[in-house]
Amino acid sequence: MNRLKKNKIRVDVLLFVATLALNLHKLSGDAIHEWIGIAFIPVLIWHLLLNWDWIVGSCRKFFGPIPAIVRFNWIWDFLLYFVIAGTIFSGILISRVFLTSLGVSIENDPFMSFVHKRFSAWLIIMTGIHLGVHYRWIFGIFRREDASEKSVENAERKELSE
Amino acid sequence: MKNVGRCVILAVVGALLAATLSLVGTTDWADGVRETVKKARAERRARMEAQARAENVVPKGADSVQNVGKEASGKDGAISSKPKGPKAKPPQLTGEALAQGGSFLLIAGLSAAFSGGVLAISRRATRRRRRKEKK
Repeated sequence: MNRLKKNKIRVDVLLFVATLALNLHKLSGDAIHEWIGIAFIPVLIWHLLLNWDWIVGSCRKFFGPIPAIVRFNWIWDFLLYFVIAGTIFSGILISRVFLTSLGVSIENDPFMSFVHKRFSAWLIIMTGIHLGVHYRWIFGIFRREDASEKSVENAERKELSE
Repeated sequence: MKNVGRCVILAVVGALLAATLSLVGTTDWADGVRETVKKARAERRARMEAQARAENVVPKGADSVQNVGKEASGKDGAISSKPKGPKAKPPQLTGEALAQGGSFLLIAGLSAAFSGGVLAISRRATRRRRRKEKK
């Protein structure tokens, strides 16, 4: 298993655990929920940087002859990014602990609280579908190294080049 | 250095999306949502107040049963000298909290199974079609 793949697995596991922890809001309380949310940002950026080649590749070939699933993935991932950005942005605006620790006080906007709740609910389903469409890559992790090297590591590249 | 440029792109896209959301927040629809949320909060507060009166329990932050709900709303008549405004909720290990995590796993798992299943079926169908075309 090469270094890039190891890093991808680490970051993906970290993202999943963070998403799960963020959804245990009542268990963790507001303070932990907000700090995990803030820590989620660099991990998400790391995840996107590790998959940058796919993002650029699919952007370049978006209007070209690529399989429908790649096009669907691109649209879905963009929507997911929009929903995550909206959830984080609205979460920061309605935060009680994070903004207070920065010495900033903003009046709690009921609209942002509504957006945060709705977006986070959509995020669960969207994350599930995001995981589902990448099932080959995920299951590939548990396969033998040589098999995964051949079939899974290059699966997305093949899809793009088809 | 390459990653810095990529981070800037991500930040710009994120900022544009956040700006779009802020813009949506200025519409009449957003004002309607604000009113609805405020109404729902007031109803919940009134329900809690009624429940506390019925049980004769004084929740944290209220000086007496009569002042339940007023300390958070900042309305006149609240005797409490404690700081006003929203307070961070402390962690609670309850069945409801665990159900929240369970429902996340269930919904995300079902969505993943559904999309993965649809994708697997369509891939199989494509393979079969190609095999038939070859023959």
